[in-house]
Amino acid sequence: MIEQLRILVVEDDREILHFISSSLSAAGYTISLASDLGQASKLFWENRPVLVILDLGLPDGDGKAWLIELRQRSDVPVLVLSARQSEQEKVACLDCGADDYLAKPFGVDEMLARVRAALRRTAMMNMRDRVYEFEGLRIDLVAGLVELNGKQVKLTPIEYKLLMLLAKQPGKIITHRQMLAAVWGSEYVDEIHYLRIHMGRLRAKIEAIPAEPRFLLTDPGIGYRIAAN
Amino acid sequence: MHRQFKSALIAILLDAAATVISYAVSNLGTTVIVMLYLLAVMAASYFLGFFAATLAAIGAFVAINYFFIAPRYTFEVANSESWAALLGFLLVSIVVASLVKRLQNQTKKAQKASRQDEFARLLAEKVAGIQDEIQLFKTACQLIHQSLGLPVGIALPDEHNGQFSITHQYPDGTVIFDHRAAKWCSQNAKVVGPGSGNWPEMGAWYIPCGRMPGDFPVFIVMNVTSKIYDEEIDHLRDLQDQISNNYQRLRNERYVKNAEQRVQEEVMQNALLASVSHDMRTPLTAILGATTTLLSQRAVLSADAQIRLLESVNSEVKHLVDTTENILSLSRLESIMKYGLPMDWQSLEEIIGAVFERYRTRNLQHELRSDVPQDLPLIKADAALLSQALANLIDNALAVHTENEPVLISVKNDVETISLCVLDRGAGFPEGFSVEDIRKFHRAGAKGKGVGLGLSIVKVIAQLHEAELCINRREGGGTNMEMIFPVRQFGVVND
Repeated sequence: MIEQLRILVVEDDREILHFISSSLSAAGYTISLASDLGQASKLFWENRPVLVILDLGLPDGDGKAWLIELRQRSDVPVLVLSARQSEQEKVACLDCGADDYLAKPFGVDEMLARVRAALRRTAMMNMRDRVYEFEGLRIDLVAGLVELNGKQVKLTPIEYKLLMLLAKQPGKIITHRQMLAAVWGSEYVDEIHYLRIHMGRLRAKIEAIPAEPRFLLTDPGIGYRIAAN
Repeated sequence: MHRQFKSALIAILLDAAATVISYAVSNLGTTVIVMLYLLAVMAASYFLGFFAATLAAIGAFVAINYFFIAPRYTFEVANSESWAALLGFLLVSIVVASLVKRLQNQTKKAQKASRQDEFARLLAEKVAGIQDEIQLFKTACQLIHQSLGLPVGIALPDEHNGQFSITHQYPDGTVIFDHRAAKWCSQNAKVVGPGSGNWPEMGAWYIPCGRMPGDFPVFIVMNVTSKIYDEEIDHLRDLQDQISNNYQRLRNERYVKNAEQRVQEEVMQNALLASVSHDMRTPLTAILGATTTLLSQRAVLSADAQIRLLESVNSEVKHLVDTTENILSLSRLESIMKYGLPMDWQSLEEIIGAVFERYRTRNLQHELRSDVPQDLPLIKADAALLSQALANLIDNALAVHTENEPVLISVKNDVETISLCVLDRGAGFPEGFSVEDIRKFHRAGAKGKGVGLGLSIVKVIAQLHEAELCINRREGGGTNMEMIFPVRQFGVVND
């Protein structure tokens, strides 16, 4: 029998914990439940889950600090649950190494989709031939080829770098700062208009209707991600 | 001392000159000679002061006696008439000298008074148009410094603890400040410093900006002595009165404005509560109804009926989520009003794309379509707020739209503006309804849920972006809601 994938859920609200764990169980995952950060650390190193769902406001400390500590020792994907409205909070979590975030309130479908996408990214990172393929867009990450409906797309070096950065982790939001640092260098992290202009040109080359993008998605005030199937 | 010696020397020289000239014209008679000496005494009085004039008068007396009164070249005087003439001359010349001196003083005073009047007029002119308190004090310090040539500063009381601190000075770094003196000066409405009788050991005058005791600003004039107190203080107090009147005018205006703002905020809060409680209570009633039905009557309900109730719960919850989002936006808007909006360069294409993405997964009754030109300039905006505004406009449009054609989101780009439009084919707003009629949380005639709250938020977001919100009636029915943003260029924008 195939070993079931184990997910660690760190959440102190009983009602929310109940619906998350019941829907994850129903979807076939094994669950470890922690209601504070101390318990979360213990369970994480005992059970070695494949994914962590982490609520930020926990009784015994700041989830973000826990995440930073975890990131020093593990690459496990972390999905942050945030009740907070603030974009800065979301960006800070992503910059600290969260894989994705879910703003409360959220539906079960959305949560399961994010979990699947995060697990798929982990699997993809470990594969050798890495190809992103979605609705007629094909990006060969090893050969560095971009094809749209079977035709090669010509990109400038910057557009190419931006696209590769997103396509390496389909569905994952890459924050503006992360993109600017990766493509232009860390001294350019505040030059957000560079990013907007080049992403605009990239959309013009890849999207059928750039204002209704299918591939290159924007999270206003946070960053960009490429659509995942 | 050196100056006195110099004036004495010049007085003697004047006498010498009179002697030389008198010698040359001595044939014209004694009267002319006396006139010449009197002239010398007057000159000494006008230019050198009273001491030199007295010296010149005595010198002239001696010289006339020696050179021109018989027997000449002796200090003897032949007869008593000549004695009388000589003494008469001495008396006249001293009287003339003192008269000249007095005339001179009066001229000086008149000139000074006219300078002070001119300065007071200039000050009045300059401060009358000033619209804020800081500018008023800055200008006043500068002008008084120009008039007196002394360092000038102003100290203001803290509005909470009444502690005085120096807020402006001209030139910078020249005023030495004592907050106790300032407090005493303001609370007693009396001048402090040399010559005033209060705290005379201080090297500066502290002049209150008000004739009655209270917490008024205090002007400080440095490097003063008790000698100039009498000449300057009345003039300075007049100036202070002028500044004080203007200060009180500005302060009252500020108080009125603050009070108005507080009232407005309170009205807004109350309207918000009323609107929110309605927007929350309606869906909550539906949800509670559906869930209690499901819990108590599940046995008698058909599977279809159960599903319908669950669907209704689901849809009402989505509505609650939207309302909550709008309330959160409002609290965010409130903090923005206080601390300012952190804006970044944003692409309207991206914002429209992100909002469309939200609607893509929803089961909409009507289609959405975009019409966005390529290569739009970026605008300065807050992405989350602008997305919220667009989503609210789209929600309103979807709620009233009736035709088969899609709801259209279009962007038009002119040289100076970019317009973001949401166009529907609905019954729309009542005839003559305009943006001014969007009252906070008031339903704008349309039947949809929470239209008032959403549209008010759009209006405030537009204001924060310096965008104009327009409600246009469409030909063939429906509404075109338009947000018109100013286009700004890189480099000329103040970030």
